[in-house]
Amino acid sequence: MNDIAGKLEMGLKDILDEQIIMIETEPEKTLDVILNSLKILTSNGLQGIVLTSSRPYSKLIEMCGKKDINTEQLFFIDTIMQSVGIPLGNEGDGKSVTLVSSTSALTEISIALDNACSNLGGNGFLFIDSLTTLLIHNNPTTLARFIHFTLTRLRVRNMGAILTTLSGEMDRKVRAEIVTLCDKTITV
Amino acid sequence: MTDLHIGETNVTELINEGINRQKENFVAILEVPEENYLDVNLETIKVLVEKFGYSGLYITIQRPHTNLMKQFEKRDIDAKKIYFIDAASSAAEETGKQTKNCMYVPKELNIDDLTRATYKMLPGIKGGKKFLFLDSITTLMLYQPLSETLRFAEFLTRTLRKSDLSAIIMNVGKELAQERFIRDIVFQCDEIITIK
Repeated sequence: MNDIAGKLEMGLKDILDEQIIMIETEPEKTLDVILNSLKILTSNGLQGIVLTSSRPYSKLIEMCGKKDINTEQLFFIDTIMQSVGIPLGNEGDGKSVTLVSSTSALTEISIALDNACSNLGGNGFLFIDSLTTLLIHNNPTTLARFIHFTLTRLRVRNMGAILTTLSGEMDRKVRAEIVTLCDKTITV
Repeated sequence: MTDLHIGETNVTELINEGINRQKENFVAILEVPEENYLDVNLETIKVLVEKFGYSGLYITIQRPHTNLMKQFEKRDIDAKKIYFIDAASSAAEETGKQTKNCMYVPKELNIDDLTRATYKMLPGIKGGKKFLFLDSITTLMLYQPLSETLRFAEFLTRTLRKSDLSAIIMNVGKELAQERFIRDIVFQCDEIITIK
């Protein structure tokens, strides 16, 4: 087990206890953090929703495959493909992905999340692959409100969450607010 | 009762001392490291209830009442002497079942509903020493303009002066404590407890 996986294994065990965890990491470690986190969570038999705004869901599924991550346990909400124009044949099957129009379409993302949570039927987790990217496309206060809204809904449904972000890259005030809303912050 | 430590700081002792210093009714602000926010919130309640014998009203903006109750249970805090106003659920367009000790703010979160709920819940709190705890004024500000947030903070301090409340405690993240509007609220406080 590599260093990142070891740290995550320790830090993420509370997700089974419906905790909301923020992971702060370095740019060069981000992909490793995402894949290792998903591997740990799915290995525990959990079902989850992945909100992807840093890479298209099809690319992420491909990477998950290489890591032996069972993507059948995952539902994707992709905020990128529609905004850049979807290459033919990549529209998704509708069963494992919802494509939203852009990373700034927070209402659309909320609706997609709500539907995905209902399909999950409670428990499980939400994985946000990049708070930093969400912050590039949204006003800081609006994003903090969206995160509060989303986390509260997850808590009502007894779900856990992981929010991934780059260390030192977030607006100072938004970071402070979001950290207070989480149960735990870990640095990898 | 095991003390809460953050680094080398004994948080429990710090809260104890802060409350002990008060000779009469008081308004306090705790400046809390963001990473330990929930722990300090709950330790504050634990000290007030178990050490000082307070009963009180917990206004939760950050997380729903159901989740909060799990946290109380996990930390073995007696919630029987605490009433709740759940404003978090309404902010997320969720509502729970009203119970004797929890009132949900209806529909969209606004200051008038929050004020009304506070007025309704306060008389129900039994006991000689009563506190009111607001978990996060900065989260409230995500939904309300500055003027409304300040109006609510002022309403709370005014309520203390004219009701039988003994203490009002508002916690705020350390990074946000230097914001101008927080300094305006601090101006009306009797005690600032900074947790390093």
